[in-house]
Amino acid sequence: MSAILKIDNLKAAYGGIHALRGVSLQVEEGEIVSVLGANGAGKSTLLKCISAVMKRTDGTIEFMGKPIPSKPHEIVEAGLVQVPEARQIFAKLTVMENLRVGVGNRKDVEGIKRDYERVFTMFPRLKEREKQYGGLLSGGEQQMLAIARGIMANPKLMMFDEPSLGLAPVIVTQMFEIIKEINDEGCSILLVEQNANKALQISDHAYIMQTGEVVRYGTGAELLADDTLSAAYLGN
Amino acid sequence: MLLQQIITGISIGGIYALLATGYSLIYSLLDFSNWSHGEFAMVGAYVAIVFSNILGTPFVIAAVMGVLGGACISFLSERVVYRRIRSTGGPNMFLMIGAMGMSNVFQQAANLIFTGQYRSYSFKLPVSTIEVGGAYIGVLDLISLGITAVILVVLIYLINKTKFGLNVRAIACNQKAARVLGIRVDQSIATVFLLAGSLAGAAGILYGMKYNVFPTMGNVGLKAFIASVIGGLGSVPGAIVGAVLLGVLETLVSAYISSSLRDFFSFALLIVLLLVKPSGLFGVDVQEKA
Repeated sequence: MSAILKIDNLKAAYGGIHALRGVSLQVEEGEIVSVLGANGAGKSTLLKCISAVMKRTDGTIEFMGKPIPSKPHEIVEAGLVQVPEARQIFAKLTVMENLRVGVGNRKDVEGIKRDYERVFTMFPRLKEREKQYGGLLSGGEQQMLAIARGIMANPKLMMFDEPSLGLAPVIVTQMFEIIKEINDEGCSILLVEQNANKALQISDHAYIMQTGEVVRYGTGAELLADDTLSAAYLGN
Repeated sequence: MLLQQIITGISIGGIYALLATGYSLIYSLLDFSNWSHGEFAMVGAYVAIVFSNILGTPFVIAAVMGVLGGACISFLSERVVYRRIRSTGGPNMFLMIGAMGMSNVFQQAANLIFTGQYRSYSFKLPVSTIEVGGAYIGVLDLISLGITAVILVVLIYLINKTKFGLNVRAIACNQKAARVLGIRVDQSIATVFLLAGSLAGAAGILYGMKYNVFPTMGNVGLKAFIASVIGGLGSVPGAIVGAVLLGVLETLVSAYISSSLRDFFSFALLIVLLLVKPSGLFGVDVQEKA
């Protein structure tokens, strides 16, 4: 196995406040890796830096063995897609148009057709509502749309920022099953979550962050078995 | 008589629409009213004057250069001024103040270069009229209306049916998400400025043909702004409908009441609409569920 994403000594700051203080982590090809931590640990900042919508002040990021491109659209085209926090679907575009935005600049007509079929099989609700405005979908449906939109870019690595946020428990369970399913189909996953339990259950490896640093690392099973974890780092 | 007035009104409304759609597009992307947009029309009109009156080129070339002039000045404003202001992350008010400043600079520059003299294009304008059911309709109005209609149809096609349009609408919804998903946001915004500027250039030339070319002619932008608010700020079809309504209203007021009350009625319509339906005629808001 080789690392699809390798981050070394990543630093970033908002104004003078250090949000990331030298984070190193990696995702092996085919893995699900979780980054856990309480609010303010720097998890979302980490994803923003990887997607290049925020500038890092130091450190290196390698994607598929090469330095990651510097522009957000080049990163998406290289095969790294983020499903952003709070879904961020396009409210005034229809479900179908949201998916078309996800397709981006892909030219492989056959592959695009296959991926439409794939997301509609995965989320039949979206097929039923393909002509509706994204803003009129329920929270769970919007999360499905955000994931489907990401899949349409044909990623090699998908990053999820708090996919369970604000969803009913039964939908949360469904979301994690879907993430597992996407992984089983060959896409590597980097998952940022506050819902540590659910995330660890599907993770190969996990990192725990606190105030901008990685403080623990282990396999999903190891960390799941560690009772001291949630009290110490996750703030619950 | 009424038919004649209405056609003239629609024709003027068309000129407003060329500008109003620009206000709407830029507002929908950047959440600010581009107060120098009327001056892009003025620049386009003067570029066409330079080509037709000074260099003596045929009308078509002068018109094309005028449209390009509007596009260039709009594109440059975005690259040199607006993009810089945006990159500082300051409030949108800064963009509006920047636009007001530029509007002034452009007017003063035109005054210095061309003096305040009213100019008209040296090529022969069709002054004839054709008779339709007892009404005399100006050929110039019809030509203006035809050109405007074609441009607006192309614009609506671009926005609704192309990948570029889809990206623009996505950016208008949620710029951050658009960027994360790999849309070239800055490139799309620059393209919209080019597009809006060329429409403004066309509007400037048509306006200059109907009236005159002078340094403060960009104030017509205010009317177009009213039109885009009437239609619902940010909505392109709304801007077109608002512009046509305003053009017809103004012509009818001028013809049947008094031309000195024309602007009074325009602003009164704006105020009434803001009181009754602040989101404008087409401002149907689809709110994102939290």
